[in-house]
Amino acid sequence: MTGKKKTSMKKQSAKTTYPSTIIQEAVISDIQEGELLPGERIMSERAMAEKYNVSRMAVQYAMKVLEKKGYVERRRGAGTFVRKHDVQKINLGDFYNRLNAGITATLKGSGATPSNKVITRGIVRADFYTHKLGLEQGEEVFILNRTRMLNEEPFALEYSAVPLKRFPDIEEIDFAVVSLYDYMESYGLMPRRFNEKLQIVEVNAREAGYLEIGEGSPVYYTELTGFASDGSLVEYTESFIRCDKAEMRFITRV
Amino acid sequence: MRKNVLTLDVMLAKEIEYDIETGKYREGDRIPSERMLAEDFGVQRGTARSAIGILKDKGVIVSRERAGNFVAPRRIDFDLDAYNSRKVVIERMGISTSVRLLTFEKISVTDKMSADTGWPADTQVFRIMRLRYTAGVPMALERAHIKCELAPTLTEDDVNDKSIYASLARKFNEYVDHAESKVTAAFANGLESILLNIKESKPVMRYEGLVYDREGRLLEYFDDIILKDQIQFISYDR
Repeated sequence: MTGKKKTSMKKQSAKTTYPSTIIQEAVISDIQEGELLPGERIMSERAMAEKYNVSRMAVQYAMKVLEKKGYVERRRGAGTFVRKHDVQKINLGDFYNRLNAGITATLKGSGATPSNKVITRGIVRADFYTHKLGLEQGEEVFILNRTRMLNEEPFALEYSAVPLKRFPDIEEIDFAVVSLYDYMESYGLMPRRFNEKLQIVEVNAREAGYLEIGEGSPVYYTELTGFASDGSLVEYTESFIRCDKAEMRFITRV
Repeated sequence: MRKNVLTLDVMLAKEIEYDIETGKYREGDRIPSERMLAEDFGVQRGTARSAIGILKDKGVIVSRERAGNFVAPRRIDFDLDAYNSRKVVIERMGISTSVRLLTFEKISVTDKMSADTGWPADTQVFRIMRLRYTAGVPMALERAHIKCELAPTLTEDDVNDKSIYASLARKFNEYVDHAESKVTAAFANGLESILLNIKESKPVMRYEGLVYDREGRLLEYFDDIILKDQIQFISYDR
């Protein structure tokens, strides 16, 4: 890089030091230096605005950004707290390398205690799902919308769709107790091979609520199509996975 | 639909996504306005607005001020089953790509990099920072670190708008064998936001990795910041 370019860059980044950036940097440095400890309550927005001589709006914005970045946690009516960090993130990348069968198995393998909360479930007729599952238009699809919990905390939000005709008694199953894959295996139709997509997206208010994170926080978003050993398409699942609880690692050959 | 398993806005978003996937609306096409969607599907305007919001969050559609909502450009597919240079991956999709070299320098690895790579603290690497463009627009800030010992006479010219891997193969007989990588979310810092033309603190994708050569030696450590709406990792069962 030429000297000229360097100076112009510096100038530009100096311009972006907004009041809210000053607050963010101060809080981050206090957390990193240990002045603020995990779980500790951060001074009120009003006190902070006075201390740094900035507007309350700037403080509020800074806290929103810090929440998204995972440094703090805002609890309605109680204030803002330094976030407690999890010791170890769970590697879900292996999932993509087809080494195991399902999130439940991966989570169990990590030694944590997984559980599921069913949000909604039922039968849907929609072109989107029949298309994804390779069905005829108008065929019925069973939708299962679950929060996957890890040690009692939300870990992922999943929307699974399976063809109803392959699983005629699926409406009677309690998926808070039974794993979807175990149930599918009772028909010999557990997915064995997958097509997958992995993206990073910002969660909307609804998903953020179920995942108990701030709206607009980045999460892993995956789409997974599963094939049973007879080659038939048996599952289409969209998942929103918390980035602070999981990570995606891969080994890729040339 | 027998009961409200999914809310109306989610169902409408799925309908629109289906129309995009099956080619009714193509990349760059304008999506009907909220009012039109509401009329066509017999839902409230608020429901249509919410459906559009869902698709925007997903990066399926983009809105342009005063012009409306449009089908977003296709994401670049990074294949999890086949590692290759970014240039090859992007051009294979029929999209043009170029890089602007920002820095090329020889440095000793930092403590953090040493911890991430296992390279001893005095290891010399070429630190190559490049801004990648696709279809003329910035897409990623790529930071490559190549072990000097394995490519002693690497020059600026070898990496300026050329595939680094192609140059390593041609000049040093160094062939990439596999990569151990990690995909996480990050937030653009000041420099990254300026280069990538986004707001500071916006979420971005961080793609880091260790790249090994055919002899099993660690050749490269990379640490890229990529616009999250422009990329996805895929794995297809073949």
